[in-house]
Order: sequence, then structure tokens, then C-alpha cells
Amino acid sequence: MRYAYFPGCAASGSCRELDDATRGVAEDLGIELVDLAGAACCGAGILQETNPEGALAVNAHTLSLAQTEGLDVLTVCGTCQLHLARAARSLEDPKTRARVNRVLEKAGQDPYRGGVRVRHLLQVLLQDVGERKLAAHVRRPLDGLAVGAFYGCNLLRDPGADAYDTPEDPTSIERLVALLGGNAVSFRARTACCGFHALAVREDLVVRLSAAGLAEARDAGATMVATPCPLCHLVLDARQRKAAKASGQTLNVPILHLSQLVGLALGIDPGRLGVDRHVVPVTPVIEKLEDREVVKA
Amino acid sequence: MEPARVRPEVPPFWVEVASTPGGESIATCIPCEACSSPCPIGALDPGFSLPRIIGRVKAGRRQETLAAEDLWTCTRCYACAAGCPRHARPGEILGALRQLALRAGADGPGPRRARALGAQVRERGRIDLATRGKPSPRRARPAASSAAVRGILDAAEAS
Repeated sequence: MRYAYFPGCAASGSCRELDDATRGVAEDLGIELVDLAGAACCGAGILQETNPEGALAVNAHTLSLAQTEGLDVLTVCGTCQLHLARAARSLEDPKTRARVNRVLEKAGQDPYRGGVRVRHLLQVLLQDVGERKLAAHVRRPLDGLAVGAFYGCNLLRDPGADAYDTPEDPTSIERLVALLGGNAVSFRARTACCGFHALAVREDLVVRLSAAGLAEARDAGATMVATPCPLCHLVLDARQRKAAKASGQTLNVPILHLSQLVGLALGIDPGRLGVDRHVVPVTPVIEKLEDREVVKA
Repeated sequence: MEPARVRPEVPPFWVEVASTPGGESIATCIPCEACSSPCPIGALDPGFSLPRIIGRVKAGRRQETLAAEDLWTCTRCYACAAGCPRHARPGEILGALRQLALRAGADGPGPRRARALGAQVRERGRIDLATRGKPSPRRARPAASSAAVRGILDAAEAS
């Protein structure tokens, strides 16, 4: 299994632990991640507004880099997944592709020929690695851990999301958690927006939004939450104290990136997964797991 | 005899929106309020209403629409589309309105942030998401070929 790895801006910057954990998990599962040296930001929906044609061309460039390697793209972020997959879909239209390729040509870049697929790690784990192999690699089962499945919004708006899940009522994270031996907790707000994109304008609303989601997860019995999107992580983890304060309740819900959760179950050292970089301590989760012997493969 | 009415040179505002990428579906919007119920921001802030924003467009209130801060309160979660009986995409329509607002030189925290992040992608190939409250956030490394990205963005703007 080889993929053109697109970590995105968050995992390349403030959520570097997501990149570390993803690389650890990939290595353990025998997934080869090929770095796309020239790949840029997916635009995050923002470049799509400041320079729409430029955003499409930049994503076409990223897809063409993957094409040169003969690989599909692997993402670890809901927003990257949405915008790259949308671009890939638009670029399947020959007229659009020809128009965008003229931009790439003018900039001295190779054209994109179409056909590259963009897939999130969640999909790759469930469909390419597969349930059997994944379960066989679990060396530190998550039993006893009640993991809230928080999808966020953008991942489910990926035009290809219905290839592995039901976007209106998703179950893929729950299925993954169960494979890892954990107790998946489903709750209504799991498909809600974390509010990330309104942070600059209305942080007050964003923290109320995330407080409501986290309280719902907790009330459903989750003692921690896992998310496939680092932007959700930036809100749910880094702003959890503000969320608690705004809503007048205690939260203290550790938020794990999906890659970290998988890494823990695979028996990877928590330090290597960067759990110490979080704002809300992950220690209770680690302590619970460390009571358990790692099953030697 | 009354003089024949001169056809206005400027098309109605909604036509401008409909011809902006993402804004196409405004033609089918009634607007009927159905998109309000799935909207997470509308649920918390009665001051934010998608039908009201789209209503302003339909009423031709261009300047007011493009200057309004609520365009930027939208979280781009696209939950609104699920509620629409006409298969319009209100979230995408708001994206089109933000494009027009940026082109019209709108100011405020939302437009300023969008411009700043757009400029970061152009300069460094990446957005720097480092936020306060996260321990030792390392600055995002510039993408390896930020010069290529700059070239592509500039070529797109010139086309």
C-alpha cells in the first residue's frame, strides 16, 4: 500500500503530533507514505473565496504531483479531504480540466490528466488495510475505553464519503473503535460543526458550539473523544477551557486525533504519538491503557 | 406617451451571485427557512439567519449584503443544504457572497482573516494555524515549492 501523503497545514504546523502519529501508524501497518514535496495548502475554503480559480489550480497541481508518482492521495484532515476531493471531482470535467491546465501551463507546471482519488485515512484503514489486518495488528486493545466518535462536518461533505459511510448517519469511526477493542460512543452532535471557521469572527459562538458537542459526548458516556480532523482538534482541545468557562460546566474531555487512537491500540509508545502536546491532558487515557499488557505480536 | 423604460445596465444582484462560483443555486432558492434548522450558528445566535441573508440578495440590497458581518459568521459546514426542499446550496451561496464581498473591498475581521490566510498560501504555500493555548506550536514550515504556488495563483488571477 502506497499513497501520496498530504498532511495539510495543521499537521505540518500546530498539530504536528497528528503527522507524527500518522507516520507511526503507517509504518506499523506497512503503509508507505510518499511525501509530495511541492504540495501546497488545499485552500481550506478560504483560498476558494479569495482566488477561486487559483485554488482549483493549486489543487490540480497537488493532484498532478500524486499522478506523477502514480498514487492516490491520502489526507488526515476533514477540510483537506473536502477541498481536494471536490477539486478532483470538478477536474474530472474535461472542459474544467483543460481550463485549469492552461493556468498550470502558464505557471510552468505539468498538467493534470485526471483520475487521482483523494481518500482520508479513515477510509483507507477500513477499506484498504481492512478490518481483518487492522484487528490482527492491535497489540494494546482499547477495551474499557469509551470513545466518543466526533466526525465534524467537512469530512462528511466529501463527495466520495458515501463510498465508505452514510454521511447523514455515519458509523465508520464507531466501527474503527470497535475493531481496536474500544467501546464506541455515538451521539447526535458527532456530525456537527466544531465552528473552526468562525473563530476569527465569533469565538464566543464557537466555544458554545463545541461545549454543547462535548457535553453531549460526555453525557452519552464518552470519557474521551476521537476526531478525524485537526481543525476540530484545535477547537475541541485547545479551546476546551474556554468552552467549559462559557458553558459553566466541567468538561476535561481528552481529544485524540484518529491516528493517535489507532497508534495507541497498535501499541505505539504514547510519546511518539505526541499526546503530551495536547492542552487537555490525555494522561487518564494513557494510564488506563498502561494498566494493560501490550500483547506481543 | 411615456418614454420607454431604459433597461438597467447593471443586472439584478441575484444574477451576479448566480454567475459567481458556488452561487448558481440562488436561482432555485425560495427562500423558505428550511435551511435555518440544520444551521449550528443560527441555533445559537438568532441574529444569524441564512434566509435573511439570501432575502437581502433577492431584494437587490447589494452593498448591505456584501458589507454585513454575518457572511463571515458562517462556519462553512454546509449542513444547510440538507434541509433544502429545492436542492439549493445555501452554504455555497454564502461562499459566492464572500467572494463578491472580498472583490468589493469589504472590511472587518472576517474579510481581513480571509485575505491574510490567502496571502499566507501565496507567500508560503501554507496557512499558519498556530494558535495560542497550544503548547510550543512550531511555526508551519513553508511548503517546499511555495514559488510554484505563487506562480500558479498569479497565473490564475491573470487569466
